Amino acid sequence: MIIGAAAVGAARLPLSSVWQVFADLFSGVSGSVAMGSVDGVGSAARMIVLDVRLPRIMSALLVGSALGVAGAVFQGLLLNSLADPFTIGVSAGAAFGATIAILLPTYLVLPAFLSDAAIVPGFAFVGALFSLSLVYYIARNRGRVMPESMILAGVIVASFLSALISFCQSIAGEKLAAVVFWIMGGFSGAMWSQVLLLLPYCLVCMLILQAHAGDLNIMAMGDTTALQLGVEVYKIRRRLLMVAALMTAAAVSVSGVIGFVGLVVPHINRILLGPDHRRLLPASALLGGLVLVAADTLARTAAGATEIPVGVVTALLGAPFFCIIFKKKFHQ
Amino acid sequence: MKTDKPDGHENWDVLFEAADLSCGYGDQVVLDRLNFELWPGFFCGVLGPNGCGKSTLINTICRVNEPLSGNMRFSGEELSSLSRQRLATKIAVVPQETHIAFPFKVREVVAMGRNPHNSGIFGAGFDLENEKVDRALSATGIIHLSDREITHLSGGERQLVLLARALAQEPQLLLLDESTSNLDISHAVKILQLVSARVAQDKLATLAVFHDLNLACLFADYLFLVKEGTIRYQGETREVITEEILSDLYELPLQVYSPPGLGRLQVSVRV
Repeated sequence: MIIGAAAVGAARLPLSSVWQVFADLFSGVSGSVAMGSVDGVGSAARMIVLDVRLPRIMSALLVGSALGVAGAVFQGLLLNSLADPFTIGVSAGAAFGATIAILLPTYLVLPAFLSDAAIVPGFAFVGALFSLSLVYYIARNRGRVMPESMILAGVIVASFLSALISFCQSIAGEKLAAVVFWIMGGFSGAMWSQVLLLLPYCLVCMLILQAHAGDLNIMAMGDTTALQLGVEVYKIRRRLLMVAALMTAAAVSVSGVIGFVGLVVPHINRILLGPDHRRLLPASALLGGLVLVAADTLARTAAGATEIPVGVVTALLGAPFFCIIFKKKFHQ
Repeated sequence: MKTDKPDGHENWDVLFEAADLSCGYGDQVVLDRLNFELWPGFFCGVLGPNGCGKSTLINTICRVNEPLSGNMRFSGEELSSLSRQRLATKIAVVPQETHIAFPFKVREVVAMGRNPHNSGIFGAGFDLENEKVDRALSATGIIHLSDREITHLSGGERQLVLLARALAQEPQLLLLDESTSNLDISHAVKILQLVSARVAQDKLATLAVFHDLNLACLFADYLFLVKEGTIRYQGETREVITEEILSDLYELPLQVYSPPGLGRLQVSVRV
């Protein structure tokens, strides 16, 4: 699938040359001499695949996995099937941070090395952390965080930040398009450096979450029961909320706000595999990644040279698809 | 104040001991300086009017609520010194009713009872193949429901699943928090008989909160009668089930009688 995704695009490459590029890459890694350019796969094709498309595909894969897993964790923690990675306001914080970063050069002269591409993800991440801490502070009561108060605080903080974003947009002038485009989400600026930062970060987060998958199952029985079954509910909920939100924050800061994946992927998996989080989390990583790679491939190819925001693709195709599954399941 | 042990059981080990135990929430004291003991192989019941703190007592013993003051000891060990996981290998609870959000299979729910016995990072959760899960499922007669979803069971079946989960914990002390209050009489009796059998065979200690006086009379060996934040009366069932005591407890004229051949007292309202 990755090879297929790497083949299509503004410059169409035959599958065989993409395969050749990959083959060269891996044989190069394993120590033998890379013969790619000699074998007739042009260096242009090589560059398109390795420097443009592959980082983009890898970003989509990672972000999709992160959103899928985070969605499954949030739904399990908040015992609410409408929860998604953005329920507790992380996306609004990231969007606010990114908006500030995009508008900043209008008011400040920044050193040349601080280009948009460099500072926007950083600001988005800080913005996401800021909103997360705010939500956590509001929801916290005597050291315990209750799911309902977390959702409520998330809604309040998100609507406040959305108002701030709207205000920024109203004064954005010619930068308005950039702000709107960032918020709609996409991978057009994907770089290897982002992928290499995101990969270990997400892997660590996912391992921590997976280690608590069994606790999540038991916590689905309710706080009292989980405490009686020996689960340190408050401590583990705090830890899982933080890790899932930090993972979402990183994903959002790379890709912008991509809805739907984190909501629907866990649902589809729960319908297919049942509610056991030990299966649900890895399955959501896999499906989330694949869905987003597919959606991004469509986003950059479906309308010719113009890109469709990938969030539009996920919602346009995902919603009807989900409705079909949902109807089938519940009309059995 | 030491508990008077029932006749013939002076030599029983004390499994659980509460000394000057006060329970409540924040500033609100619900139960004030209780002293009582629980013994292995003994079915103890708690009776009292609504809001007297019966469920608060259960939640304090299993440390869902922290006590306001006082001490609890389990086999001589300070209860607060045990980790929550370790505590769950000793004390299990069958709740009144649980809202279960996700459609877990019956076997998965029962296997959750093994959680406190599991260790290791990725070992938490269910160990579906565990023979103790099977044993709990067959002991409660629900092995045929193993692969059904818990959300699709009747109230009585669901309560049996929760009892099986508690038995899978292999506790030394079983707490029933109005576990049978919402059930029809046949399911209620079935659950209480299953618990009684564990009490007799495995020397399980049990503390059960009852609403139904007659079920309490049928199954409990020993009763704590709670009113206005204290244990007002306690003793062997046939000693404390008197018209005088019950009328004081519930502020209602009640009649105690002994149906021929039953060997247990029963209670009815005098109207």
